[in-house]
Order: sequence, then C-alpha cells, then structure tokens
Amino acid sequence: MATLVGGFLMPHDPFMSAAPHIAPKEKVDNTMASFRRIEARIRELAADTVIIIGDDHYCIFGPHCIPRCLIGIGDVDGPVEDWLNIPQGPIANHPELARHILEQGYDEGIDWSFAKALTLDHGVAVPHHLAVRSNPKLRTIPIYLNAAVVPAIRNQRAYAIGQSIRRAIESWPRNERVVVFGTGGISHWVGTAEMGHVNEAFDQRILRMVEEGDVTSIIAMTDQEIIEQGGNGALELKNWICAMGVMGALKAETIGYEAVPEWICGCGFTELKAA
Amino acid sequence: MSSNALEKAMWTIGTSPLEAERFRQSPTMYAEQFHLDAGEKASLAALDVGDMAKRGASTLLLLMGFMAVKGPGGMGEYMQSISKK
Repeated sequence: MATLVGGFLMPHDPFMSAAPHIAPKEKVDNTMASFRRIEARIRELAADTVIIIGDDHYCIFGPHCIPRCLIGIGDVDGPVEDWLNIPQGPIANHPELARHILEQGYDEGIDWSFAKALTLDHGVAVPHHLAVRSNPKLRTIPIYLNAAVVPAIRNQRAYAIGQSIRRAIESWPRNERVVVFGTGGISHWVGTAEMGHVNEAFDQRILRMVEEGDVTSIIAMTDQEIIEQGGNGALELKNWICAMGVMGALKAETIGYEAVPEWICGCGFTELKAA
Repeated sequence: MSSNALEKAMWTIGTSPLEAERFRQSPTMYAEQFHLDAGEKASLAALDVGDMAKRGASTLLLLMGFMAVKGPGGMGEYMQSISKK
C-alpha cells in the first residue's frame, strides 16, 4: 500500500518567484534556504508523489463558481499567471491516485469537485516550482480548498478532508511514497489598507501550535479572529489544517520563518512528522 | 445591483487583458454592461476601489482588476484609494 512519508507547511507568496529582489537579501536567502531544505528532505524521504494543498485567488475560478474543495484528477499545467517568472507548461501528475482519493472521498461523504484539466495558480504553482520541480521523480496531485473567498471552507471540514485523503493513501494498493504540502499564510492582508503589514506575534503563535501538533487550537480559531490578527490572507491556514489532517497525530519542526513586508507576508516553513 | 455584480466586473477586467483594455477605452460605457445601480457604475468607472470595498466587494478582486487596468505602477494609487476613510 502507499505510504505517507512526510509533510511540509510553507508559503505560496507569488512575490517569492515574481520579485524576490524587492525583499532584503538576507530574508530572500533564508526563505530560499527553507525551500532547499524541503527539497532535500523530500529526496531523503524517497517520495515519489506530492499532494499540494493550496487555494485559488480568483485566478482560476471566478465569482460564478467557487468550489469548496477540488482535486485535479487529470491533466495539470500552469501557472495561469504569466508574471510569476515560472515557466508555463505541463506538470507531471498522478491521475490514478488522485481519482482514488476522489472516489474514496465520495464514499465517505466528501463532496469533491474535480478538474479533468487544471491550470494551477500561484497557490500550488509557486510551491511546486520552488520545492518540487527540481525532482524529476515527483508526481503532483493538486488540491484546492476555498480559503480565499468568504464564506470559506470551515476549519473542521478542511481537517476532515485531510483525514479522508490519508485513508485513501493508506488504501491505495500500489507502493507510492507520498508527501503532503499545506501551503499559504501566514499573516498577510491582500488588497486592504493593511496590505504590507505582517503580524509576527500571530505567526509565531501559529508556528508554536504547529510544533506542538496542536491542530485543535488552530481549528478552534474563528475566521473573524484569524482575519483580525493575521489578515484575510491568513485564512490560508485552512490549507495547513488540511495537511495536518492528512498527517494525523504529528509533531513538527519549524524549518524557518521570515517576516517580509516587501512580499506582504509572514513566511513560515515547517516539517511535519508522525508523532 | 450588488457587490456581486461589482465583483463580476472586476474579475472580468482582471482576468482578460482584452477586457481591461476595453475598460480603459471607455470606463463609463464598460460599466453599463453590468447589473449595477448608478452609484456602483460610477465607482466602477472611476475604479474607486475604496468605495467598492465599502460596498462589500472582495479586496482580492479589487486589487486584481485595478492592477490589470493601471499596470505595475498602479500600486501606490491603489493603496491611496483603498485607504481613504
């Protein structure tokens, strides 16, 4: 059966690829070192499949259709944005395992939306570019949760979806070695008057909760609390919650953190391990 | 007549360079194609993101649409507008 071998939480800030030079060099270097660390750990874990959980930013979906949870089960390419400094093109995917996650989810009451041909936005494409692309062994399964458009997916539902994904991995009869990424956050305000503000105290509080495996406390935070303290962009913590649901009981180690107002984001990186 | 129609307009402008250009050519005429009241049309035509945000439009869409029209140099103007009381 397939094995979940590890998990990672990281930002998907588009400025990291599009305009790294606008941030201080030390912060850029530290952030990229965190991505290099994740790349190295994925090779050490001998992973061959990565599930990347992100959220759309009105780049793929519009006001006419906001899927609560969507999985790419077919062709994957991207990114849709042409300003990310990321080459646009096909991305190696795993349609069979993705379809298995979808079908088992249906049996368990997860009302997945699915895409048979999905062009990624930066929410998945930036982590893929910075932590996956260099490894030709990796196939990617993209998952999009609605963490950007209110009313957003509930924290508890994001966690339950993660648990379903885990069960699907464990019931898959082949021998894939799977890692999961939860992407986004931490504090950032998008398009508001506060844009550019980073709440380091909030970010560090989140990282401490993750280190302790205390997903319950993160789930307990209301959307209003998260928006007030971490900005509308911090609702992306729902992607983190989902990844933590995939991992189950866990412990975590912070890989790095940089507050980067120039990138409008507090950038936190964590490795998740089974407890 | 709603923030939903404003969001539809800003998303349309923000995701299509052709639509952004059509807006630039004639903002007032562009606003006419959406189900907006007079105030909403005026806000959209003026790209008054501060007012559109007060009317409930998503700031994610406002930023996207504004920058599609104004280009990379528009961020300062965006922040002025979104910050006005």
